[in-house]
Amino acid sequence: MVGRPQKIRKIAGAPTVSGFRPCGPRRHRGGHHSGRMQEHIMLLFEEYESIRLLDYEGNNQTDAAELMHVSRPTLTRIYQRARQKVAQAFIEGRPIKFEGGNVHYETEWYQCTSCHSVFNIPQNATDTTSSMECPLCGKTEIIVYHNPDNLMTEE
Amino acid sequence: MKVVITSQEKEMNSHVDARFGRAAYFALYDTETGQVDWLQNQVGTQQHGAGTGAVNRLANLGVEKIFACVFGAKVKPLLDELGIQMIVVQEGETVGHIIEMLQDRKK
Repeated sequence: MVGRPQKIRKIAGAPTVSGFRPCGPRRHRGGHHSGRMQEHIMLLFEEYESIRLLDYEGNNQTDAAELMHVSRPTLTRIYQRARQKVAQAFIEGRPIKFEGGNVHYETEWYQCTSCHSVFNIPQNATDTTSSMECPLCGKTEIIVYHNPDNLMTEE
Repeated sequence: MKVVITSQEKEMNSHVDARFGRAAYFALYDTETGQVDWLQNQVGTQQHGAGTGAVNRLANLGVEKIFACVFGAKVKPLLDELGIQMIVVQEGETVGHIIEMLQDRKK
């Protein structure tokens, strides 16, 4: 039997680095690398996001769950996994790699106060010069648009 | 740069077709040459995957911006990933007027 598909988690953005590496073993300072690099621990973006929302931004779990569009118990499970992995990496001296997971980037929506069109700025857009002018009328009076759910329909 | 405006008919004065995936036509406008091509949206009447089908086709054409009134829930993450900008315009806007505005911007 197939389980219920996972809900898509919303995250604000990918981590700025692709992962973390331990500095090296304590007793071999200045020496050769002892042995092979240990196997990576994969920290999913959603787990990273839970740490960012809870520990870094100081949200409570209810708010963080809402921001990620998952239920509060799900958020708790994601966060538990995140902490477990970080702890494991610390204790075992293993490198961490950030990895996709089932996420959807929350891009910001903006509205032009002149022609009222609403638009987003794709993260990997090639056309970055005009990032803060309206893509339609070219005016620069842009505000953040707060109800992007209004723009979406279910297929 | 190539942009796409959804359109109810194949005319400059036709209205923007509100829903991206279900649009009747796409006006493919090249901001460099000023040329407008009308593409029929063959997948628009499909029961499923109209939006994503249309995205794939337009992405292959090198489209960088899409003008419509509403985007489907499956389309948004796809466009985000492809780096295609979504611009949500007011309903009742005409294709010709949008192209005029884009032309004015270049001046």
